[in-house]
This record gives sequence, structure tokens and C-alpha cells, in this order.
Amino acid sequence: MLKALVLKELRETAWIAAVGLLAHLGFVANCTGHAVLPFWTIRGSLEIPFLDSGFLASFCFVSVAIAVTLGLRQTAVESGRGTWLFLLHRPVSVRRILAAKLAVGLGLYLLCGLIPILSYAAWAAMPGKHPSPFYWWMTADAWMAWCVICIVYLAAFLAGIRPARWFGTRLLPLAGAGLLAVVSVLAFIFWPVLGIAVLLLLAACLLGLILFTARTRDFS
Amino acid sequence: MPDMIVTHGLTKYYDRRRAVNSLNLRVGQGLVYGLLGRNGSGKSTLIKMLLGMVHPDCGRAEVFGEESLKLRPATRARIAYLAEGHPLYAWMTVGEAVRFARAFYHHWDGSLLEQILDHFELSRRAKIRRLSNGQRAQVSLALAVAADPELLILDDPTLGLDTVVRRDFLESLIQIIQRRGRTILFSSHILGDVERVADRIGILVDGVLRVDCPTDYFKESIRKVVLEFERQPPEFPACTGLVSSRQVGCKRELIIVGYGDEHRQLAESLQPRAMDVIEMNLEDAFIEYTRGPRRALPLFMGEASDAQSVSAERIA
Repeated sequence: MLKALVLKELRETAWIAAVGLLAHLGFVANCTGHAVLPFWTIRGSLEIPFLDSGFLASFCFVSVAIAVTLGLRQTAVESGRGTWLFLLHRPVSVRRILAAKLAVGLGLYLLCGLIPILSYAAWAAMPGKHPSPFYWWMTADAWMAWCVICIVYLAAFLAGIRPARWFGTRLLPLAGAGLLAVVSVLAFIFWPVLGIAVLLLLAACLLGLILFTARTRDFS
Repeated sequence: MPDMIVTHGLTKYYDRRRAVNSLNLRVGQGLVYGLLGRNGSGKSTLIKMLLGMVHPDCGRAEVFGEESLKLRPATRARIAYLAEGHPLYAWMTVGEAVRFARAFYHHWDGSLLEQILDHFELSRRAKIRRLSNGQRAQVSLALAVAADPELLILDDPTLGLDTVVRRDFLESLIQIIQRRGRTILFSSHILGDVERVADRIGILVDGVLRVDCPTDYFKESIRKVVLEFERQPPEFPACTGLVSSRQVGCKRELIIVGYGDEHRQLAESLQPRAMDVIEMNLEDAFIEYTRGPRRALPLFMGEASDAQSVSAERIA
């Protein structure tokens, strides 16, 4: 039954990951000196990879977009189409249903972020591609963003699953997640271990809230 | 006969409105229970509370002796639920919906499912989003029945279906009931459907379960009494079983449940010129029972007065 749940989630969200990955790869191509679209300014081949190539900004932008779309697609769309009633009546615990959703959503988000970072790093590590040196520590900020944006995915999931009267209050967890993401980034910058601890704590809080909301809300 | 569904003082508020009010209900094994009520009377909320989808503010509901909010997956597997509007995943084909649903059940009657799909001429390759409301209802019914449930809970299953599809759907439901003594609780506001299928009915009025009795008993016990007077009719005194009392010209129309000697004597004490006691069919009985003081818009009265004024002008 877990397989059926996972396959269903994959069928519903794979297109978001595919579009997101294409966008990521487009920006990577741009940073490596290839213009995917005619109006894009080619950059990167003369800049220091990961440090001043503009990769981090585009990576954060696309990752946040993927995280928010995935989180809301998995929850708000079920509410909008009334399919929670069909899904939650399956003879399986709510916890398992949520676990399948979160595993697929987080898995896709992480995969979508992993591929562009590794591709860009692999290009940067190849000798003769750019005039600056490359060290793996240069990718640290990208990895940090990759981890921190998980919080945005969980917040979007929570925003979609919690009942709210209007979009303003529904999106409250997302706004909160924005602030929390800044806190974790600051913690990462000053003390990476603290950053990881803050991130794990936030993720645990959000997971707890998601489970609590799913158990206490009315699916009507 | 053990009770499959039991509720004690079940209450649910939406904002300050009481959607379901102190509801006590028992549905025994093998019974077909028709839950009637107007739109917004609390039928869907009650059903969702029975399945643990909505949390009651007060009271409790039990299905198979388990509290609804804590139904174990094994217990849920014994219950089929058709939600209002038959929500299914639109992107799936019928075959994919079958594969998805089948994955959750140990007991799955594939041959029965095939029979139902064939009977309704539903292709396994058809996309759910391309199906009509009636076809979606048929797919939902097939998926629900294939899991071999002991209890079927259907929330307005014939809503939005045309007469022919509705009849077909109900006949299939009757066959399912006859096949094995399953317990069915279904809500509807189509009286003919209920009359055809239900052994017992419950009528919800503004969240309160006003009637809970065998279908035939309800039909037999409700009467419309028309008292005709020579001038302004007097008020009918309050008494047990009086559902409504309204004045229509020189007549007073009463709707009475459990009409008997007490009511007849009260009516005679008003000394009417004539008195008619009229039996009602289920539909009329339900309408009279649930509509309260509201009546149809007085458009025709307006037209009549317009016509009168026109004829008055002509005479002048």
C-alpha cells in the first residue's frame, strides 16, 4: 500500500520536479557560459564558480519555487478537489499517508537541488573550464541553501494542510518559514553546528505541526 | 442484532451555528438506514463525524464499537464510504483507480468489480476526468463494493445524477444489499430513492434528528388535517405531534405526527364547518415536516392581484 501511495504522489508531483530541474539546469548552463534562451546574458565562464557567478541567487529562487509548489500541490489541491475524503478513508493510518507524501515531496525537492549543484561543481572542478581555482568548500553556501529550503517545503506543506479562512492566514506558516530560514542561515554562517541543530529543530517542529494539524483539523 | 453505528449526544458547531445538535442514533446490523434532510441540515457533517473526518465538539460516535476518531485501519477496511460528489483522482484512468484502491485491501473481489464495470459499460482505460457524474458514481460504487465491506456509508450518492442513471445506481445498490446482508447508511434528499431502499429513516432538521423510525411507520403516522371555517380560523392549540399549523384563507392546515383521538377532539372543539384528514406520501410528508414556516414565493399571488387590478380597470 505504501508503494501505491508513493506512486500516486510521484505521478502528481513529478512534473513539478521536472520543470524545476529544467530551470535549475538552464541557470547552470548559463553559469557555465551557455545561453539556453536567447535573451539570457551569458555569464560564469570568467567568474569564480559558486562565489560570484550568480548561481546561488538563481538556485535559491528556483529551489524556493519548487519547494512551495510541491508543498501546496500535495496538500491544498487535495483539499480543493475534495480528494482528502477518498484518500483518508483508505485503511491506512494518517501518519503513513503523510509519511508517503513528505518522503516523495522532500525526495523530489532534494534531488532537484542535488543535480544542479553537483553538475556545476563537476564543471568547475574540470581543469581549463574557467580561470579561477576551485575548492569544494566553495560549494558550502549552495549546500546550506539546499538544506535550509527544506524548511520552506515543510512550511508550504503545513500551509496547504491547515484550514484557513483566506490566503493571507493560510500562507502564515510560509511567512514564518521565511524568517526561520534567515535565522538558520545566520546560525550556519556563525556556527555551522548550531545551524544544523537549528535546522533540525525547525524541521522537527514543522513535522510535528503537520501531524498535529492533520489529526485535529476537520476534512469537510 | 448488534449496533454497527452508535452516537451519543453528537454535536458540531460551525462558527456559532449548530450543524449537528445532540444527536443520538443507532443503526443495527443488516439495516438500510436513509438519512433525510434539506440542504444544510447536517447530513454530511454527521456522516463525516461517523468516519472520523470531522471532530465533534461534544458527544461521541462509534462504528463497530470503536470511537470514530480512532478507527483502526483494519476497521476502516470494513467500511465503504462514498463521499458526496464522488471525489476520485481525475488524472487516473478507471484501471489506475482500481489498482490504487486494491492496494489497500486484503479482501478484494475482483470478479465483482469486473461485473459492475462491465454492467455499467465502463472502460478501464477511460480517464476519470472525462467521465460524467453518473459514471464517476458508478466507479465509486464499484470500488467501494469490491473491498467487500460490511458497512456502506453513502453521502448523497445520487446527487447530480439524471433519473435513469439514478434508477440504475439504486437498483445496483439493492442488488448489493440483497447479495449479502450488508448494513447501509445513506443520505439523500430524493425521497423516492429513500422510499425504494430504506428500512428505516432519520430526518434531520437544522441538525436535530427529529424522526428516527421505520419508513412505513413515518408514512402512516403523518397526516394533513384541513379544518374549514366560515370566517377567520382560530389558532390550533399546541399539542403533542403538531408539526405545523398554518392559515390558508378560511382554512387551517395542520400537519400532525401520530394523529389520534386527542387531535381529533381538539380539532372538533374548534367547531369547524368541515374537517378533512388526508394521508400523505413520503415526499409530501417530508416536505411538510421539514420546511417549517417557509412557503413558496408569493409570485402567483402577485400575478393574481395584478390580474385583478387589470380586470378592475377594464370594468371601470
